[in-house]
Amino acid sequence: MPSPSKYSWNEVAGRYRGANGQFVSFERIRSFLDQALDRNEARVASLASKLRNRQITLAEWQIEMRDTIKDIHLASSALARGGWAQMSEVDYAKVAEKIEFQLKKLNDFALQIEKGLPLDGRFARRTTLYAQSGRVTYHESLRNEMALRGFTLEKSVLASSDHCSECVSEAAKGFVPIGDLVLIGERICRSNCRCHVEFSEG
Amino acid sequence: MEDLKRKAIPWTEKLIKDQSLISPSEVERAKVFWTTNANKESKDILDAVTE
Repeated sequence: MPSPSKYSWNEVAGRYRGANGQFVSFERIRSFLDQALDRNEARVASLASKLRNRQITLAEWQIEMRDTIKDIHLASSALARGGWAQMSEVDYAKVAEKIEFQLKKLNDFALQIEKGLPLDGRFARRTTLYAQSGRVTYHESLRNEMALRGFTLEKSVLASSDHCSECVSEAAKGFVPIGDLVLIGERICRSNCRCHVEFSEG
Repeated sequence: MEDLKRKAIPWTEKLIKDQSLISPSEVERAKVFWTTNANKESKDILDAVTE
């Protein structure tokens, strides 16, 4: 039997609590997601390389990518929701919608490859967007969760790494009503965005 | 000649919708995905239970 997690979930606050009893910051939770997505990106890049080198077929690549997409979006959604134990049927239905959207894009991508899309650097970069797309799901889910709990304001906080001009302008707005910010993942830097969002009850 | 190695699986809209549904075994696979890719600090965060 697995040992209990050192984290707990506070449903009222919509926050994780660590072993020290303190809430875990949104920034830290985001860093956990970033680390997992970055590690998995190597696997996605390896799949792209195998397809380019004809070590796997396009059909095999499609299946592997489908499974990876499902893993990424399930885990990202669970992270925003407070963990696997908190995921309800409604939550799974919401993830399924996001997965469906991604699978449609993957299908279009595969058809383009079939028609001769060059498997060059642009192709490789495009595959990494799938690997990083969990951030969009995480932030959409998080925004919904916090709005449900009565939080009315959100603020974009710049990452310490490089950021795009849109992230700079979104962060400069400070706290704004929830829903007013351009969602992380939909900015110029797309799903590679490293910024995070803080919430306030206003 | 047709390149069978570069032949896509024809996913219809219905097939995509069916594939987007999540089975219990896929949730288990996603749990493995997380523990495989998370670091030491975050490995068990998704096992949190409500206070």
